[in-house]
Amino acid sequence: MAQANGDIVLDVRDLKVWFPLRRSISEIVTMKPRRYVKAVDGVTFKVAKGEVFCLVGESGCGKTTTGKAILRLVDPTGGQVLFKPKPEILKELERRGIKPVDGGYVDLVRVPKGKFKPLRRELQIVYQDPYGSLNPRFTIKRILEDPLIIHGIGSPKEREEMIARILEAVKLTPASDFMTRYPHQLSGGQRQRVAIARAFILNPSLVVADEPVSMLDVSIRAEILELLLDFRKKYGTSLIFITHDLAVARYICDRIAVMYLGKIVEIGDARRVIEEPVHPYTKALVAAIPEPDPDNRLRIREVPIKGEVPNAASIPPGCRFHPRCVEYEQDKERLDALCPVKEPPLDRPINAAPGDERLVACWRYIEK
Amino acid sequence: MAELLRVENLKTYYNTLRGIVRAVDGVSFTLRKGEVLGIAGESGSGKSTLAWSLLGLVPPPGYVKEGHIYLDGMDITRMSEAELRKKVRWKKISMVFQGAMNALTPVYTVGRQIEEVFKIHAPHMGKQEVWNRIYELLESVGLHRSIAHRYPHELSGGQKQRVVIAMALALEPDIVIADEPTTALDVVVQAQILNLLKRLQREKGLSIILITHDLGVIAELAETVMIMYAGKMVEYGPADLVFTRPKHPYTEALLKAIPRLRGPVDKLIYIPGQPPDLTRPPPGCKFAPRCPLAMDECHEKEPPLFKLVDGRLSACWLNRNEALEAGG
Repeated sequence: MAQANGDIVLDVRDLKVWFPLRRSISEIVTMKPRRYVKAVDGVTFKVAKGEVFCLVGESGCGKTTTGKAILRLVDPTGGQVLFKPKPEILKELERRGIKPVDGGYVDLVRVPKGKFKPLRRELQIVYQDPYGSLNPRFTIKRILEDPLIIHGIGSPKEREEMIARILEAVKLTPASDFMTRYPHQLSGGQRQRVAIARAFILNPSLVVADEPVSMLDVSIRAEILELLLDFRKKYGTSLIFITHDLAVARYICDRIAVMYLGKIVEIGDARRVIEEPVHPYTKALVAAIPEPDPDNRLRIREVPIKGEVPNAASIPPGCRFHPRCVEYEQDKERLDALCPVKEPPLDRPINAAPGDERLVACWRYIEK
Repeated sequence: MAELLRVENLKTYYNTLRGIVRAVDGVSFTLRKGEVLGIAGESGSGKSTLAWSLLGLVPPPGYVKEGHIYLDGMDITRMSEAELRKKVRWKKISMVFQGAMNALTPVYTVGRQIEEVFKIHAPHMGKQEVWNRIYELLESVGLHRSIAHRYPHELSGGQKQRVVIAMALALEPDIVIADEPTTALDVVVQAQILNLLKRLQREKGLSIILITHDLGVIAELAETVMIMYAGKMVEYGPADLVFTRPKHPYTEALLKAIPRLRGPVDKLIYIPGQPPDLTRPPPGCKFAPRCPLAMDECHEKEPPLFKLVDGRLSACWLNRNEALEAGG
């Protein structure tokens, strides 16, 4: 994907989402500082136009919260989310008194809630659970028409045509047949296609897809992935694809960011990162995945990682991965002054191959 | 090796208002001592119902319509509830249910919950003996014995899953059925649980029936694979053969629908349509409406399970010429 600056649709800088913990009486009396669950703790990345960008990691690593914070579905604690809307949306925002920062970007974190509506057309989401994300009392037509009505688009007749077109695009044909149905009359795969149609009917610039295939059967997953790739090709939509499945990420993503406890530990070209991981955590993730290959049978799988994920309310000092890191353990003498003490920045690894744009947050690979 | 379990033409149906759902419709197989059988299929293919049938635990309105399940020569399908409890469940066959780790009682310590199993099924054991056994069990699944005195909310998902596996092993059954044992877990924890199952299988010579939709998980453990579709067994055979040279279009399509971690990024294929309504299954082959290779005959006549030269079974008309005999 092109990385020229003009093509960047989303530029996330040092995004933080901290959830405050309730303080106990003794903590209030002794005036202890408030503690936080640092779900997202300084995340930085860019997404180009038409790019599929993946956030991967285990549950609790902050990937979903990152996606939601970008869409302002949860409020960020700090950082910037620079987003480039379409020119007409930008004009509409200026009319409402929101000044763009240079280059036609808007900082989503600073847009007041009351003035956010025009941006909702540009920012959409597809949720994991197609059984929970569609209103069971609405027909498919109503589900798809609602966003159009809210944003005042088209006459009833035009809207119906738009709905028919999008239903055909997600292969729910004949469209007129599906319009009158209710979600419970559809299968899981069909529902997820309605959810995708709903996200794309406003022709947004950015769609966050949060584990859109995890709840579906294997045989229909590929069809949904194909559909998302189709849409990005047709409309140049950028996708933030959130998944825990590295094999799916390798298939669908251009670039990938691996998250651990609220931070990106490795980011770069999806195939490079998955095929030749550098960060010890990425290596462990890749090593843990079972593949449908009978040669693995009954072979004890070596996963180079220790212990379990710590609580996000008490993140280890220094590199947050060091208590579980096997490579730190092996090279303790050299790394003891770094890993448990100083947080590693995201930087180019020293031995990066030419053309490898990846960044890694690990002292072992960036320290000269 | 000795045959432990033999299932013959098992049919488990559910009576519903919309009609009879043929959840398991004529499945036969055998399980040897120490064998790991992987049962794969999509949601609604009948794999969990098959497992419940083996324990006589089919929830109403379900019932075993026909067929036999022989365990050590006894037919489970003819047993009363009391007999099943006394002779079969936990002692001969135990099960790790899907999501069982979330079914641990929050108000009792882990140890007390395991103790319960002994109180009911082994009342002759003394308290000290039982607790020694509980510690031993926890250690055998890679947990520290102090876990016995903790409550479920103090444990991580992986630890709870280990506790549930320890419970299943409490009375040293010959067969453990594991229904989606790793589905809710993260990949790193999943790998650890699979390693545990591999070790238990090797050390104790345990027979395992592993039920999952994830063919990757099956490949890690299973020696024999059964692929189910719409209540039917469509392919059955040694894992090496089924994974590398599938003999049923459904198996083949499933394998091609999975994105891989290594090798070229091929375009994935998907299976169009959806599984049939089991109250009104299509007349011929159940997979024919979605099959890219379906012939006229497939829509009319249901294929038998063909026994192939390499020893595996496949329910597809395309194997007719290769088949030794039509069994099933």
